[in-house]
Amino acid sequence: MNESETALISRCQAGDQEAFSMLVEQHSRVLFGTAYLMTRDRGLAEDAVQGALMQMWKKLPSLRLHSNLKAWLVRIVVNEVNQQRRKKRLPTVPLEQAPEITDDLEEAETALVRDEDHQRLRQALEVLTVEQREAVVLRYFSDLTVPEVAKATGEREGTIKSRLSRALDKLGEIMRKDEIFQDRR
Amino acid sequence: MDRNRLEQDLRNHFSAEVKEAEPSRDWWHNAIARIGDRKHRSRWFGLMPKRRLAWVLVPVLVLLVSGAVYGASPIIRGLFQKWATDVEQAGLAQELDLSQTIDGVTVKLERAYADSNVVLVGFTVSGPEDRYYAEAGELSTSDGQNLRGMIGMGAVPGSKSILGSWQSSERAAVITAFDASSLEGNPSELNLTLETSVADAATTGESTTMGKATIGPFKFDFSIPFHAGKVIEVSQTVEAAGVPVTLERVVISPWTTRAVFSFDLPPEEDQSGCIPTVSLEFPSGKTQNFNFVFGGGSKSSFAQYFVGDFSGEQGTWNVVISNLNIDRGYGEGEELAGPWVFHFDVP
Repeated sequence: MNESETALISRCQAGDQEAFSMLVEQHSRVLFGTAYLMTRDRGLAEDAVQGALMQMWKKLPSLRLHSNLKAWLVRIVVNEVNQQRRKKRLPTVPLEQAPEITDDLEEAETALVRDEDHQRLRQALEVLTVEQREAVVLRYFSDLTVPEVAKATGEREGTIKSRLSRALDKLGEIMRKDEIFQDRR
Repeated sequence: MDRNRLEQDLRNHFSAEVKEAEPSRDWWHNAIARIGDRKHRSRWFGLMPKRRLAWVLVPVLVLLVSGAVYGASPIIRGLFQKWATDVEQAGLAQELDLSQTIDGVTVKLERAYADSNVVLVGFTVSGPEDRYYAEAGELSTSDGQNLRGMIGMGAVPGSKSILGSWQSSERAAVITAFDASSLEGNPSELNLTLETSVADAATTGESTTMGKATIGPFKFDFSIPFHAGKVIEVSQTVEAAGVPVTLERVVISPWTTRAVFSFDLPPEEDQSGCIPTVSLEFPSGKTQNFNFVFGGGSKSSFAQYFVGDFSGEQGTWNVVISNLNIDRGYGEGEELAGPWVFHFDVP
């Protein structure tokens, strides 16, 4: 936490809403982005962020100044998304119903959109379980370390490492097949 | 596919996805405004609801008076009266009249106070824009020692009914408490340097740059009287809930009383948040709950602050930690029930 952030936190802890507004604006991208990438729905993400802001305001007094602020904020968003998921039963794809990774390149053709990397990755990410996607989002969008991802999700570091590794293997396999397919076209 | 490339592709992909969906600034403004009515359990004012200041989210647009003369601001005095009542009533705060203008923005250092626990510094920001974000700044002594910022209180125009009138060009008022616990000896006065910067919040529209200092640094050299406190070396260890807690010392000064604790939590409890609930019981029978906690960067020690001048309470004091709240992150936590009770005499 830098000097400016420490001062902001102090003011928030004292009940200064102006400072809270500044703090939220500084971290708005990671707050909304984390919720959006987890829910894949803008409205649900906005609901989750709104709930998270309420919780941040309430919980700020218990935040120590040397804490990793971003990790703390993301943790609140993750919890809010998961709470909403439980309450509203967000549509998630169970692992057994997720698209199978197939060796059949013709089948792969129907599962993947190949016009650009962005679309290909979007499709590839669909094969991940909810937990794997969550870990990947927190690691590669929210930019948390593995221990921070573990803390945010309430899992052990080893579980997160394994989750990330499997997710990347899965994604890598799909993307590699897609590249081969493209090369053959 | 190469793992590094895949990781980079994921970062790029997520950034692009979020960019397409990001809500407008108005949405953020409304979302933040909605929390306005919610109760904020402030470390500082949470236990003193009657003293809580009415902060405003959106500053009132006031007319800039060209060539304004900067006199003493009632706002800073008002903040001191709310935030350091006993200090103000005893006439211990030092009025200063130091101002510096950079790029049309004036920072005026108005009032300061120092004791064995804290240095309080109050300044205003004036300028042509509607909003400024004033950093707490850095405070150093003449021998080069940096005092850490602990807690601050800021206000913007709109809270005049509580704080007094704002001058027309004033856009922000800030009081910051800096940690003076590292000061040694008992000097009659302190020679200090405050260096702070100001961000033009109205024009730093990108969220990533909000709060980033853009104007300054404003630098002030000043001297203020030092009010020494009573230092009671307690060094008592009490164990409850399997956790030994040591009350190292208590420092009683005009602005606050500081109780310094150290503790060893089991390794699995080594989390970022551990907030004890502490109260003081005085010989007169009065009790005082803690107002804020400052860890100073340490996970194994913390200092609890009880705002007010309790130096007149002579006799046996009790310090009671009723529980330790372990914060394992949002939604998860544990309360270790005490009590941990310490007794010591104050001459």
